[in-house]
Amino acid sequence: MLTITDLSVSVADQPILDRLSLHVPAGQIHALMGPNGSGKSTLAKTLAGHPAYVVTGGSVTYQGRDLLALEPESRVHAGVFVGFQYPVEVPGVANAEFLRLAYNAKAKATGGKEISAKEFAPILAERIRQSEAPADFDQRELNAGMSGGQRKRNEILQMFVLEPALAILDETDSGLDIDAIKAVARGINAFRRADRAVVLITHFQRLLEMVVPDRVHVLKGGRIVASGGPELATVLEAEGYGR
Amino acid sequence: MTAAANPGAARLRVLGPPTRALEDWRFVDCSVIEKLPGNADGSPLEAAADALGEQSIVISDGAFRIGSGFTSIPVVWPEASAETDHQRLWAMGGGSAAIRLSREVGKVQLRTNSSSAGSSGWRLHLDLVAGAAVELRIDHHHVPGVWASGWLDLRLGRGAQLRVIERHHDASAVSLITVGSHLAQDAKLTWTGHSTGGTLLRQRFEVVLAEPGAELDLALIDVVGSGQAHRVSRITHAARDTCSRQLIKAIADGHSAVSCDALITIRPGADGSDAELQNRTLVLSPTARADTRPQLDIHADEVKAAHGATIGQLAGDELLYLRSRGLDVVAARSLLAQAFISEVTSRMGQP
Repeated sequence: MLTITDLSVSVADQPILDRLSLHVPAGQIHALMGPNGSGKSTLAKTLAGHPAYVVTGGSVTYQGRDLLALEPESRVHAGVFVGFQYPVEVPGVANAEFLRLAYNAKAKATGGKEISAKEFAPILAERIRQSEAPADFDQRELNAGMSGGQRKRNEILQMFVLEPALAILDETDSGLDIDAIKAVARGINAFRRADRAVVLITHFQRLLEMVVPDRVHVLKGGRIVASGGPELATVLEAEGYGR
Repeated sequence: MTAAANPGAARLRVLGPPTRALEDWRFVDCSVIEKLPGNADGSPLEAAADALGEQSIVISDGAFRIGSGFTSIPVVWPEASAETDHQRLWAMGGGSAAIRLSREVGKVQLRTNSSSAGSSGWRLHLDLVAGAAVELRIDHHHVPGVWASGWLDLRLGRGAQLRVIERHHDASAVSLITVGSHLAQDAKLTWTGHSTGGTLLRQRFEVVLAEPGAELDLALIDVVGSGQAHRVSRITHAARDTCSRQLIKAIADGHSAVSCDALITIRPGADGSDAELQNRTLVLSPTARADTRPQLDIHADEVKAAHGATIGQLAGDELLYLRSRGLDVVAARSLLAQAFISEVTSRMGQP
């Protein structure tokens, strides 16, 4: 599904990722852990196509395509979704209308049918139910006036609306209370499918107790320094990243 | 109407056209005025004979048609003097009317039409009696190339409430509007305006919160793709416990020019005044120009007064966020611009 090979990325001429390599097959969830500043969010933003994150080397292949050659919106149309650590507030934009525009943009790019607000309403209601998002999210503005935790849950709702094949979720569990973490975990587990993959960036084992990953990777100094099964998260929880 | 009938004509000849050298016009490209016919004396056309609502006022090229639901009152307009500015002098070049709005008047329509090849001026005085609650919808229509100047003088009696929704519909005329307002105790003026600019749109608000409890809520949005839109406000807190809120927004694209020149004055003794001014401008084109000059002039101690001004581009993070959900650049920019506009237009309701 996703193959990252020797990826190096700089931000404002400051190298962050250093020849990072990662392979995520379809049907699997990979957890990416690491200390602050190790490059986890840089990887997420690079995969999203953030222009400030400059790829200085390496390659990213998604379903056999050169992901880095695609514009940010084309990556979404191709089936890549990045849930951000700090989703921005966009006052004045209705969440439901934004989600419909996003849904239609993908439909248009993939040969599907664009739909009206009336046609979209039951689809959105179903996605809200599936993602366990708060019921009033179709009445809210896009992240405006939402708490940090609510914004993360809105990211999960967006993921369900866009139905990507690959989801990269950057610290989706941070800022959530325990009930919200459980709801998000159920959402990610419901998203799990043989033809989908998830990269779960997190600081904490707590989420990984609810969403059991196939592989756990430790990112440090811009590189993967250790990989293992779910038990690696338990070791990290006990010993930290210092070893 | 002859040249002699315009009491401002002589003064205009002395003044000459405005230029950037005048402090009040420093942000305006005045060259467009010189290129127009500039018949400052005006020539009101015969009024059209189409149906007129009871509570409608139509001003066509300076000529008034007034619905039967209004009571006209005598009013003495100020003489042209050394203090009278260009806009008012031009407005003197057409017809005038004065109307009392009683408690029975609910909604009023005001339409201004400028269709002659030359210029037109008009003056309208509206007097809201104490306790009146009126919604005034103003629509300005101009054919391309005309030049119109209007002077709306508002008097709000004690406890009167006036909600104004104003739209400038055409973008290829010179439209110069002056709004003078005097608010008595506990009166409230709520004004929401939208325009797409003009060859030159310049609107000047002069609001005096004359007695305790008077309140102003002004929200304006100009979305200008070419041409100019300039907003000038002079708000005076003349009594204690008065309140003013101003939100002046603009989007400047193409080769357009927009500006906000706002001054809030809090006079001695106007303690307890609460004034806020926000001016926010989005500049979408490298060839567009935006100027802002927010000013406070405070002569009382116990007041709250705040102003802020931002001129910037669409936020990169917001654009990327929308693109990362599949919207292309054009759609993302459009959505963000709509969101920026809606803060004002959402107050306007249905036309």
